[in-house]
Amino acid sequence: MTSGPEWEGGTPQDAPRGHGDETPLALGDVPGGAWLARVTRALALIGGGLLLVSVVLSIVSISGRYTLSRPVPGDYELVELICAVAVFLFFPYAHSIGGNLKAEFFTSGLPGRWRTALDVVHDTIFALLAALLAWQLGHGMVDKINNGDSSILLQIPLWWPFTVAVACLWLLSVVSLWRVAAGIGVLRR
Amino acid sequence: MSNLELGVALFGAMMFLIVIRMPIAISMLLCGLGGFALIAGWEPMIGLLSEAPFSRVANNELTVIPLFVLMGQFASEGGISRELYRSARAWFGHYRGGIAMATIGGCAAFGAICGSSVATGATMATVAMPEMRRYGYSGALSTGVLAAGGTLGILIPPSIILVIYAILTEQSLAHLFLAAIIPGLIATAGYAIAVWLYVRVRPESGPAGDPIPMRDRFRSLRTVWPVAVIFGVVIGGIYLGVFTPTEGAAVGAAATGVLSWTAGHMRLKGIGDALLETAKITGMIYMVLIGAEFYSAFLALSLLPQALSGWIGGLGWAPMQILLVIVLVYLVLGCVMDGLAMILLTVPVFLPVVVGLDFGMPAEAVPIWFGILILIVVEVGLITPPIGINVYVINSMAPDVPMMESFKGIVPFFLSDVVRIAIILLFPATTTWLAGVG
Repeated sequence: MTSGPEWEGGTPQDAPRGHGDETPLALGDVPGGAWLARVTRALALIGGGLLLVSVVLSIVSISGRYTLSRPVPGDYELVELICAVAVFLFFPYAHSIGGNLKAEFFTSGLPGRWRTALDVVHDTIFALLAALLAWQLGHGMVDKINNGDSSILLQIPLWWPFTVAVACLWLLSVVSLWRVAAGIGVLRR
Repeated sequence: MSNLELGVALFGAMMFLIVIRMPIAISMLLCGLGGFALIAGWEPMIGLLSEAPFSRVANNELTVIPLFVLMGQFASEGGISRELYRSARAWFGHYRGGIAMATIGGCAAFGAICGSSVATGATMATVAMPEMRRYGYSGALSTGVLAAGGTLGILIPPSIILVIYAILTEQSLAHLFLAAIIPGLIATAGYAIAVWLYVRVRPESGPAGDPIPMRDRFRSLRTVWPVAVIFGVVIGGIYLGVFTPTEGAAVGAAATGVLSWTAGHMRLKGIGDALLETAKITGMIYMVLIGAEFYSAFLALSLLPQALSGWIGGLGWAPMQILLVIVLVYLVLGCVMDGLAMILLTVPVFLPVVVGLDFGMPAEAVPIWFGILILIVVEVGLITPPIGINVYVINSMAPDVPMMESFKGIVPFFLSDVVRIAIILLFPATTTWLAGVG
């Protein structure tokens, strides 16, 4: 069965939560995990708030375009960057609650400990790859600072959203490490 | 090892990693990066890493995804489903099997503002299930109809799957949305016919409900028309170029949010829940998209799609035979794989094959037609064992119904899906005509 939050649906409020994730790793079981969970959740809510901002911005821009013939200058660009920042803010939260798409079907017959062991291996790789992305994107960010790249119309310096992206990818790596620790804790029990 | 062999080997490795439950995003990223480095060298790979993860996310076309997800979450939070269902129940409930048909109708209407299927099925289940059980509908029919009805959420636009397909294949989202409307209507009618046949064979499983006075029927339409207006404005506005798809999604999200607040019962907590749910789903989709970015970069370098295309062309089969085989492959894959992963993994390989075939229609119509076929096949995967997620979710909401009963209840709807696939294969105009590309 596909893992926890279905990519294309998620569980609506009334539906039973946590459906499908057969071996949930609770971050709270690890020291500092509860704090990490709160931070990721807060970031996700900030990202959600940014989505609402881009919704309002789009509507103001459409109304301006058709009633006053004056769109918000650089509106597409702004919405694109705001949404990009929001998505990066979502990553640590999505992973912290086990919201990653995986095929559970083939391993569903294995004992729970085996599945947890596999998850520990995968989360270790996840942590490494997230760190690699964060590190290399960090180089990209330094480039952006040095050559002063900015968006075409509004001249927003591009290193700014890059910084959020890099920070969120590092946090994603940290979340993966905490999941590894939580998994090892489960295996030891 | 040639690049082609490398392509095949790493594809196999990736499938293996997915089978041993590695997150799909990470499997794609790992094999994509490895393959890219082995073919093009480490330097270009590192260069790709310092830019691509950001530019993939900060992409004007993709921005539509979080906004459509938000729209669907607003719809789910506010109890709009209850109003839509009540109206369908008022109009159809007094026929034999009518309360199940009303469930189909409610799902179809909800699908017009929600682009996902588990959400559609599960939200509708909270209102439709008690009603069906109250009138003595069988467990098989009431869970089956909800699991199947839920798939209308991704079939009827807006549909997140279609957005991903449009971006992956560089097709017009407006054309794809329009192309999905007639198949969505065929699906709704097909499911209603399936219910009708079901209760003819087993009259005891779906008795008629009490009739509702005409005055109340018309009164129940008061939430239906705003939903119809939102659907028309969003899809029509995108198609006519009044606004971009991103702006259309923003308008849809805002309108649905307002409707959930006024006609439903969404309050601040509901908004917070909708935002967190949006964060979870969007985060998951984008992580897979970043993985897919590197995987497709590698796939393009390996020339695997071209080789496959050439090989299939050399078989000397008729185009329709080849397409039929591809659809069958998808139906089998859909039984064990998630739809999004399936599309991201296989469309870059199969689309060049299909586009290279002569179906006697304009070349630009083929990817539209193929996209709708893929969409339906993905939808079927949501209700077929062993991983039909919709059936599991709905079944878990009806604790007294055994899982086998739910899968039995799915059979007539599955057959209706097969008929619909045949119709769309035989009459491509069902998709291309409304999109204006046939």
